[in-house]
Amino acid sequence: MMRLTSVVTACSALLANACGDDKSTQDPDASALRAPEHGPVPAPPEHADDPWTEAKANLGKHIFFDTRLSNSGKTSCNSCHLYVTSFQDNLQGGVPDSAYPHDSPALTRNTPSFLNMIYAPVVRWDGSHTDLVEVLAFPFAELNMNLGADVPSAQTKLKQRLTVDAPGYVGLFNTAFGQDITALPPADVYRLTGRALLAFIRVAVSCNAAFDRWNAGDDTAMTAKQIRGYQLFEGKAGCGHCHAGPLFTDFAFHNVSSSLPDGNGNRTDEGRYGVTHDPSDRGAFLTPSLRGVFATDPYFHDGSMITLQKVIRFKTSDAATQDPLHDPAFNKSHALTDEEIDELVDFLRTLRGEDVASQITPPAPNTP
Amino acid sequence: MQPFSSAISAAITSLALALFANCGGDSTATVDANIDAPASAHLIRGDIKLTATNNAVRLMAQNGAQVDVPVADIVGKPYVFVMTPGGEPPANTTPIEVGNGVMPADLAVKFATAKTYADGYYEMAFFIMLSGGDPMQGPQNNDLAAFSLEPAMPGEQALTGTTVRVRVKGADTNLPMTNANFIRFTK
Repeated sequence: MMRLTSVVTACSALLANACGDDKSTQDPDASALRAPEHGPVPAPPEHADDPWTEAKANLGKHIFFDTRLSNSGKTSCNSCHLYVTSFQDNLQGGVPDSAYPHDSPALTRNTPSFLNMIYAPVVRWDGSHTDLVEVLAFPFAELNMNLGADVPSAQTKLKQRLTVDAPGYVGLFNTAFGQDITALPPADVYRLTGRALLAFIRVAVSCNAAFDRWNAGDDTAMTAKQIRGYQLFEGKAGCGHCHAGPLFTDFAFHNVSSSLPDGNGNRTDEGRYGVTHDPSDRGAFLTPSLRGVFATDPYFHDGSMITLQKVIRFKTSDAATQDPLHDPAFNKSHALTDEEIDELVDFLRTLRGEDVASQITPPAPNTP
Repeated sequence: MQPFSSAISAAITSLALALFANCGGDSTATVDANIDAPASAHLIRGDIKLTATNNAVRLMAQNGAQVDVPVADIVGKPYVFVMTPGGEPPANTTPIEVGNGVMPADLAVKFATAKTYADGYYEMAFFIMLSGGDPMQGPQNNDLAAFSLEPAMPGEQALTGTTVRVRVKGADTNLPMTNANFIRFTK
């Protein structure tokens, strides 16, 4: 059995929420692990200047589920990042508030899961954000929640929603942050909103997966087939090149030929290039974590791959090297047999952590 | 195990059955069970009843919009159901059972699975293929898909997002579904 880590006192309640206090995040210094590289999910990061509190998480939970904070009054964070389905929507393209009253998708990218987002040094498919507080508030200024055409106007509208349209929030902010948001500039209210959402999504930690138990020495946690799948993952299939570390991501950007250039060299989605403007980043996207990936279909930045089987077949074939800017690592990929792909998919099944949705009780509608 | 697309393909082949074949317009499902019946096994009855108002079925869309789907767009269209183990999305899992039929004029469908389900939890994917798309690719734009929104019970895996959770406990299980269980799928 793995040794339990000495849980940081300040976040003991959080860990209990996240993974259970007797089987939570474990000692990252796990030299006895079978695969130290993929050691257990670490303890949630602590921020000395913004410690987690239950009051902040409670405020964040209300904001997360509150449709009153969208332009239409119909959309919430939970509309796309559904807490019951690993904080994502299983749709190819997101259907944001700006699409209301219609239901056609307006977002071109696949909704990423919030699972283990709290560990991410960079987020979104193109890595456009490195500040989790900022990125969690930013949808209010995007088509997603659609509160304004730009950030300042969205901030103003958000403050109005939180202080005038739903004034019960004033008290919750006061309890959580000791601040009267009616007296704060809209930009500060927006920032506090992001901090509250960050406190809430710390519950979205996927850990204690079958792989973690096997990694710690439990022979019964994975089948022989799943172990063969893991061996393929690290060996012939070469997945570990990018899907590295305890979260099975290197948090880097790779071109896997998922957004091919047209005859003029332009791609439907330029990915990382849109942020850096470095030509070598064209068509490159952030490596997603594989923890929980088994149930977050479809896959790729545009949701174009509907099964893991298709993803693996794509990435271990010439298809992954079609783009002239493809990651050279794919030059060494080996085609897998159907049986091997099946084993690899079965291994990915073992990266599902315990469900966290049952630990969340959504607030009553239109509260506070 | 074979994931959804290849497994459903195999199931269809073995039944010599095209999912889009006209099955006569009744609501009788065709079933392919690929597991052996345990000693104490039960069946699951699907009981789908869509309600129309002014010749349209009103459903919730992803962004909270209400969408009205004309009854004429639904009647005569194929439906597909796929059973998988609890927590296992059809996209990445070999189905336990696959069945299909055609939506009748009264928008009411009743079917029963094979009597092979031991106590536990399962997933049922149920789509009504309005798009005329390839069922091998799962639900397509404008197809109707059923799903669960209540969270998993403690000890269960998270919902798949593309299925309805079914719990079997000591008896045959009824699974009623109404407009509230469906969204118009958007891709």
